[in-house]
Amino acid sequence: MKIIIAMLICFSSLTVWSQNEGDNDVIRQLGEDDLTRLEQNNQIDAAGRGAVDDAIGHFNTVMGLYNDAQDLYNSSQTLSNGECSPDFTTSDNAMLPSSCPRVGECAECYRSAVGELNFVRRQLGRLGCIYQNTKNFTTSAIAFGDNASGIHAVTGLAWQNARGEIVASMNHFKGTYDRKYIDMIGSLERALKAIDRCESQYGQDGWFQRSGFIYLEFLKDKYKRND
Amino acid sequence: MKQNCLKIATLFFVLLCLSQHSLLAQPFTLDDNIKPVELTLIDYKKEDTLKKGRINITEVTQVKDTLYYFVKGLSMFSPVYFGITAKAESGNVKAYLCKDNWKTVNQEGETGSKFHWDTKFKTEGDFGIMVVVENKPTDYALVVWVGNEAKDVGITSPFKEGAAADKKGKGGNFFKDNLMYIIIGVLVVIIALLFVKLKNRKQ
Repeated sequence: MKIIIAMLICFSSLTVWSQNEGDNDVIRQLGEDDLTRLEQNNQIDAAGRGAVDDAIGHFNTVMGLYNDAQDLYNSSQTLSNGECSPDFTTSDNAMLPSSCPRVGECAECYRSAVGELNFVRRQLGRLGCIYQNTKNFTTSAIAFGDNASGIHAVTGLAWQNARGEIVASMNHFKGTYDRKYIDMIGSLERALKAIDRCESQYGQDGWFQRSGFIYLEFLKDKYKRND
Repeated sequence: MKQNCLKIATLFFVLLCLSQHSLLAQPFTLDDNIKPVELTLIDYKKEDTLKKGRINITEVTQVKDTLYYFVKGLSMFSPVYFGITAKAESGNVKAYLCKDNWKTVNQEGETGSKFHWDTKFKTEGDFGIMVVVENKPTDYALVVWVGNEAKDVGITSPFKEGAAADKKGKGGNFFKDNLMYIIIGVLVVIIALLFVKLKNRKQ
């Protein structure tokens, strides 16, 4: 028993000795308490103090260049050139006629209906981009793996399994997209019919048949998965 | 009704994100030696209209040539700021931002003589950060800030304002609705005038 304990002590001291501070990277993520302390200008660890303070100074300088978050967002490009960014512009030919004045009861009726419509448009835009980006990622990963796996036979075997999993995940994702697409188009139709109710009450009869339906078909086609 | 729709949509996107989690956890690699560290975002400046969002500040002493990090849970409707700042006595530090895999670099920069590099962008899901140092060990700090989702994000109205319409009970389209009667009335008046003129001549 004494021998076992002695051996354990020896092993543990060896482990401590082999993990000197300088042998490993030290990565310390600041928590909420650290952030509060930083804001109050209290001291944090001496080792990282200069870099962290400077980093926050640079961050504040960049933020000072913008009036609001919208301004900052509008001036930002996507990280990757091929990355999808939602496009919410509507061509002049596809504009919906509206006879509702921007004040009064009609405006009240329109406000919630148009809010719902814009919410669905935003989510459809996100859905479409998530799909496009996932597809890009998968294509890139498969191309990368196919090229790299030819270098070594063992890697090649491992890659075949990994490739199968990636393709299966993508197919599963396509199914998820299709289900969500149907849900979102249903929400879009409900939003357009809410606008139709406002129009028939305050504006023109048959708005959905004349205009809303065309817009619905336009967005259905725009976000339909075609691969 | 709207609240329910919001909840359903939020749930939908949580599920969607979970479903694609296995695909988009971090930049793709076949190298088992690459073990990226997740930079966890925490709430930041809830009261500040510009800076409110989530942030990660990490201080690092790097002894290896290259370290890998990733950040996840990003929305394409949120602006992202990334900054890397080295200590003055440290050597040059290079940062590479990667989206799809570690071999394809989407943005890169180095701290250089200013000891700092930053960039801003928007992206969905996640991105990877590869940091390469010239001197070892090197001390530096990383800042990743993600703003709250921008509300409008360029959603233009699909409506043509002031478009012609058949307004109920407003009488706004009187001429259009009664055009036929107006033409007939004008013709009747003209004929009557001509008839009167002709009658006068005969007399």
